[in-house]
Amino acid sequence: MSINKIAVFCNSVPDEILLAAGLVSEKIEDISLNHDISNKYLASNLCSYSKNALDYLSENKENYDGMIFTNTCHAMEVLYEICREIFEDKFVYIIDVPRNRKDNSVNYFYKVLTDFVKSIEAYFKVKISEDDLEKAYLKINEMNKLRTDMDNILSDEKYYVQSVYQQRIQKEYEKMNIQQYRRLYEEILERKKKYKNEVRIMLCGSNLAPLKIADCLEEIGGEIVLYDFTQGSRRYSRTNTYKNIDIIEIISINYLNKPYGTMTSDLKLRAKQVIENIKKYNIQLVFLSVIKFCSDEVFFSALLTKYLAKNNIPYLILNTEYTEKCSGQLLTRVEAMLETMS
Amino acid sequence: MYYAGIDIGSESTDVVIVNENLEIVSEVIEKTGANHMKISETALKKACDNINCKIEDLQYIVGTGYGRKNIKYASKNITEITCHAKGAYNLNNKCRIIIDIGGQDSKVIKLGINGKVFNFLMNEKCAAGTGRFLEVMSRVLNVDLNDFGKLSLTSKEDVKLSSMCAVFAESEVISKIAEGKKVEDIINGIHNSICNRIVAMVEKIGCEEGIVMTGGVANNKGIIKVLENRLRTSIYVPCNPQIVGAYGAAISAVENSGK
Repeated sequence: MSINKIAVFCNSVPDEILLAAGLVSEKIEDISLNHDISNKYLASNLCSYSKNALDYLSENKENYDGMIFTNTCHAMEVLYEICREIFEDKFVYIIDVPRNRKDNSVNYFYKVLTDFVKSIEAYFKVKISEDDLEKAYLKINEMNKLRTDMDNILSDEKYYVQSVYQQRIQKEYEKMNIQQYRRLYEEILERKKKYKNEVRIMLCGSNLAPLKIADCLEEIGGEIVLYDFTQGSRRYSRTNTYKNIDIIEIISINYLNKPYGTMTSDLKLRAKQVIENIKKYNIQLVFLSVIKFCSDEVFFSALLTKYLAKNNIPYLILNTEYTEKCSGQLLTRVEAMLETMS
Repeated sequence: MYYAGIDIGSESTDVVIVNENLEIVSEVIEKTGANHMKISETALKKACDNINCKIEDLQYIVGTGYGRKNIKYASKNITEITCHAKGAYNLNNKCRIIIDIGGQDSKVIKLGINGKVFNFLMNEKCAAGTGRFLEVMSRVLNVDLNDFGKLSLTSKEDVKLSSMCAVFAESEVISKIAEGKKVEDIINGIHNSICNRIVAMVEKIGCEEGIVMTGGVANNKGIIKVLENRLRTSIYVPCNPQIVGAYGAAISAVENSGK
């Protein structure tokens, strides 16, 4: 029997539950060049990541048995409704993720995830046992530990993962072991020598996956630290273990306690965390990538820029579309900003 | 010794050659067209011919503008933001803000007291607020673009265009013609529409004395008048505003030749 692949769009979808059910999750990050479906179903001023995801799913629907959304933003809720309509033969589900970490939110999320488990069991005709969940939890935890080790090595060196490597880690982390991580670390140090006099830039925002901007920045002459609010640092830091507690409860606690990301409604906390990372990695310049028509990010960027200005950190907001293209106008703005720093 | 700056914009390709004292010895403006490589070579050759020198005799060449990466002879390329700042500041050292309405985008650049770029704003991909908007309207009204400024200064009635989008504004202008509005009043309305965008950008970056306007649109006296009224300050327009970017590139060529 072939392994069922599930499309996910947010890191608040628990990999552990999918793995325990024998499913494989895949974050949708690939680019679609054909926009016929999204133009038909979605408003032109809806977040371009969501529009791209719909087009990509339509083109590759035979590769996925299901799609799992979270209600972390309006665009995702819209996408869920559309997918429910046009992919009737697939498992299409939305998880209600609480916006804070209080005890009653954890309890609520526990119930949400319990229902999620039941829905998966019913649709895919599988039984997820306590034992399956624990094995899946330990496996994911082991991978998180590797990521944490890597992050610690880099943090201790006051260094960071450059875009090209971060992209590789994101894509391959499930297949890598600690030796491979260490080899990668050596490669990073080599690259560090090459770029050591360049401007240290943080490229932050949501859904940075088409990293053309990062590539362009490195070409122009900058060292890049990526900070993707949607990727977050969940995979780095969620390594704590618990004894004698229900695994779904552990998952509920962990997922609600991951670093502040797009689902965090307390924007001040998110902004403060970005500033902390800027200081940690000795950042000289911040490029804040805001996906066009993402109202959450537009709102957050306005707050973040206040914090950046208060801390005398130069920044530039880049309004981007979820595309491989890096427009001439965008490059001019980026280059001009680097020129002002020289 | 001569140094050149080449500015390939979406509308025109401008070349300026300066001597080591930063004095302009030759300038050329050509339509850009579709072949950046060829037009930059043609314009550069013409500029060299004006002073009886060869391209190979130039000490250093800097390219700028959106086509800057396609200039075969350029030793270096620098963004038009930095080049306009250098050019404008050298022409007027009281310059603190530069307004450049280009063919495909508009920029507002704020300078520090040393003439270095302190901050800048560019409009997003949108024809409204750019020179392209004026071109489209010139076609719709069947009036030469060079006459826009002179005609708008004779306007007596305030015609308002409500559309934020250049495409919708075109149909709105057609409606105004059908309503029997005078051409000069419609042109003045068009100028007001463009200036709304520019004024918002200037206010966002922080308006202050010492505004210089560069780019071909700065030759339009109607636009200058509207901007001066709205910003409540005088605007300095260099004698040939279209070549300021290329002049800044030529200044950068002098600075970089010694490095």
